[in-house]
Amino acid sequence: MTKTSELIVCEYCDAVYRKTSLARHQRSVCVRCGGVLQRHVGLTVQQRLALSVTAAILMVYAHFYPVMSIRLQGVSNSATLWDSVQILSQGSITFIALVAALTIIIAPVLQVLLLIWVLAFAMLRRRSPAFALCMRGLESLRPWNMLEVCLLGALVAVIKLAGMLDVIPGAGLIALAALSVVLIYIAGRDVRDLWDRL
Amino acid sequence: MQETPPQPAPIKTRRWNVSLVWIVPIVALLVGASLVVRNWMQEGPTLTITFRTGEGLVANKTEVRYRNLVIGQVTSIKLAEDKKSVKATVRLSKEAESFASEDSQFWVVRPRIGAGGVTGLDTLLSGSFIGADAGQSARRAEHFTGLESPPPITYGEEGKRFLLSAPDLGSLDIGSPIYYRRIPVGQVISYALDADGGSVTIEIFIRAPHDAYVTQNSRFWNASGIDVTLDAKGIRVDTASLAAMLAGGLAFRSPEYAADGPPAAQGQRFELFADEQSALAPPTGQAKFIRLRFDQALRGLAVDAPVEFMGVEFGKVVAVKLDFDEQKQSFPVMVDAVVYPDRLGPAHAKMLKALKHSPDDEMATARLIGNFVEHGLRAQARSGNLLTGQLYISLDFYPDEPAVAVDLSERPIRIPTVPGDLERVQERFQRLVDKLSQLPLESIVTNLDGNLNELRQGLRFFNRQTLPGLQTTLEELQQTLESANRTLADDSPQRQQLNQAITELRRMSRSLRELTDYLGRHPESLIRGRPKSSEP
Amino acid sequence: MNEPPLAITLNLCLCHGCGLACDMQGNPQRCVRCGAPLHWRKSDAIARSWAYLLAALVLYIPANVVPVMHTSMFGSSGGSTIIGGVVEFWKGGAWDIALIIFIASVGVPCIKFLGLSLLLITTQRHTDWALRQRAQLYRFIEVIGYWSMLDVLVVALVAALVQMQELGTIEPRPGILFFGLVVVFTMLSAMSFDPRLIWDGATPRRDG
Repeated sequence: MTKTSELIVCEYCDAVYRKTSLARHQRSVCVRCGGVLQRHVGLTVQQRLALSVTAAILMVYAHFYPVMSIRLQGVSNSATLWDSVQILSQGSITFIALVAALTIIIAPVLQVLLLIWVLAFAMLRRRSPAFALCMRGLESLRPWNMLEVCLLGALVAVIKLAGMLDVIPGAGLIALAALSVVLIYIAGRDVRDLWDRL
Repeated sequence: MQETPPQPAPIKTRRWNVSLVWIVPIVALLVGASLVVRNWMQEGPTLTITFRTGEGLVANKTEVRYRNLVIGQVTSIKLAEDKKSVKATVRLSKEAESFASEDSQFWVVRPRIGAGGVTGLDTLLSGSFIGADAGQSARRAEHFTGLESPPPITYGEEGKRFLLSAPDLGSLDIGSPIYYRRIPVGQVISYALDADGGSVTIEIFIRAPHDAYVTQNSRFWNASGIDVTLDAKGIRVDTASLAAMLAGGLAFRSPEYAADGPPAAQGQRFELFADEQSALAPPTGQAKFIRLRFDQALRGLAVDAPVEFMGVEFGKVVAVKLDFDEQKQSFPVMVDAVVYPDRLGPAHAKMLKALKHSPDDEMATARLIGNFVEHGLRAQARSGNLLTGQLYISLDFYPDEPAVAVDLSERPIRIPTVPGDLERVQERFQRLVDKLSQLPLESIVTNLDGNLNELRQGLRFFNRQTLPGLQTTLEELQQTLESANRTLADDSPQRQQLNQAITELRRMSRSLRELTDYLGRHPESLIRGRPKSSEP
Repeated sequence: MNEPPLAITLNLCLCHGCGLACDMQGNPQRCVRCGAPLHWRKSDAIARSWAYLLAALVLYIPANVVPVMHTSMFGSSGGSTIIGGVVEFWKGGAWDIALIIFIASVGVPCIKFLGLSLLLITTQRHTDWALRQRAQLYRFIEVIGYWSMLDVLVVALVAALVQMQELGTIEPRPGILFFGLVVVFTMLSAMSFDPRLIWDGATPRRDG
């Protein structure tokens, strides 16, 4: 019997396979259900850390610079992500503000911070303090990160308002676009290989 | 049961294995790209406009408007390289591409008090904007020089341009209104000093359809401000409109004597008159100068006072000078006047024709005037307005005046004068007073006194003697009348007798007439007697 | 290739925390590597999934009926629902945006309702019909789960932007709360479902 750490279980149908090493553009697929078992991780830990730091910097821009601003008869107004969460918190619908905050602020921020934390220690070839907690946190936060939907939403909002007033996409929107791409790239399931590496 | 040992999973190699998670960013990318493309499709030309100042211009805020429709926006404002102007970069919208043609005009609209009133007040709230007017040239340009003030007419507006010559600009400005019968129909669009500096040429624009009212005979005059005239006709205040009063304005009209005329051509040059009166005055024709000598003071006769002939104004006083007459040792007033015989209209024309007189022949003119003077032509300073005491010169015929010799060689020709109305009245009154003073008033009064005494005595006698007799006579007369009345009353016997007598008389006259008739028809009956058968 | 062995037959259990195949000899309660609780299958998966799904379905009605935002601009004001917004875009000529919003706020929730119901019913019936396709359907539902958040975020951004007192304001309205709850509940429903149950029904359980 092989060691359990060399086995991989399909999470969709419980089929068991042996782990293989993959080259670029390769992935292993479950024969039973067609689910992806393994994907080639093209990035080294260092590259991923660099991307995480990039994400953190982009996040600062995305959160502190207005995503867009509008102008109407000389009066202008701009909104950051935090502003849009705040506006939802007014009145009887506060709960949706919590959901929005979780999906566009809390989840991405925590993800990036945890990634930097974990990867920084991984660089030193050791597990970070509370490694298991961090990894589980990353795992459970993943479905709640909706920054890319937020990006799409911002673009839709631009088009929606463009008919009525002047809309100027802000620096935050570009940062948001870059951030969502970077996050998809680094915060996917590939983090799991840290368990095996360390 | 056979346990199959775990096998390595099959490996799939695909160069592009795009996971579903990338769908959202890809869609976002597509949306963003469509936004950019749409924006790019809608983007019009980008122009740079040079203005003297950047006052009121704000990057990304100041709009470019045409007929108050936003067609673009200022995207940036920079100082020009020579630091003498500012360069505004303007992005026009797609539909406004025609505004990039090289003869387009741009100007900054700010609150402005100018000719034709206060404009751009709305910009106080909304901020300034750049006004634009599309050109018609097919050639495109990217650099424009902004106008300092709005062009008074928008491009392609129907109408005609005319030129006016004036000695000075007066209170006119670009945009000053032009009135036709007090209705604004056009504007001053430019002015320039003539090359010799001696006069000003004003370019005006009359909008269609009013431009048809500008005829070859039209007269333009300055309707600026308040025109207060104090002349022989009294005080006159003329104002065109409040706007014209503040900002100046022009008016035009065809004079009554030449109401119809062919419409003026584009660019025709007209003279600009100082006021309506001089503009509408009949054509002056040839000027003739006359000199008048008055022996009395002429208080109230001013230069420009009208000269009238038989009540028709046809000239004006050009000089009033005091002279010294050595022979009479007096100070006569010499009045020089210019007259325009043409203004007398048909009278002058007919006279020229009848006398076969050429107005260019000076000697003949002098002879003609000498002839008139022989017939009693005299000049008189008359009071035109008792209130102000203004005088005017009136030429009229006074056939009773003693003849005066006219020196035909004198230039300007001198027309003898008669004293003015007031002077004549004074003179006559003086004469009356003189005659009165010559009367033997003393003896007249003594005689009159005696006469009065006699009259009184006569009256007394009359009262005492004649009146009682008269009383008796009257009473008798009354009695007689009463008896006559009685006699003539309806029921009196005399009246009835009279009636009967009258009836008898009527009957008698009828039978008499019948007899005569019968005799007329049967004269033989006078001899033979009446036949039995015949009826009377 | 042969049918791969199943984890349950090898007495292995997948850890959801770190993906480790844990040896279940000695019935460990937690994953030896990451400490996450271990269980053969997600507990009460079908019941929980149904519960979340029905809650979402119920909330989906007010989410579409109640206005999601209130616009007062240029003197006129009015509420707009999600479908109203789609129609407005469509009429305005932005059919692409209308399509995106329609897919995100109508298409995706409906696919999730139908897909999850289908999965749940077929799983309960232990049918071996289209196993592979059902597994793919589940993965699809999992991925598109969060798309419906689009409308919530659009409303949040638009409302945050258009706050210009007299000139115009846009305010979020309770419809958006319902809509957000639909998204959350459908996501929870999908998460609660255990795709391995699709296969369990088809292959008789072999107790090792």
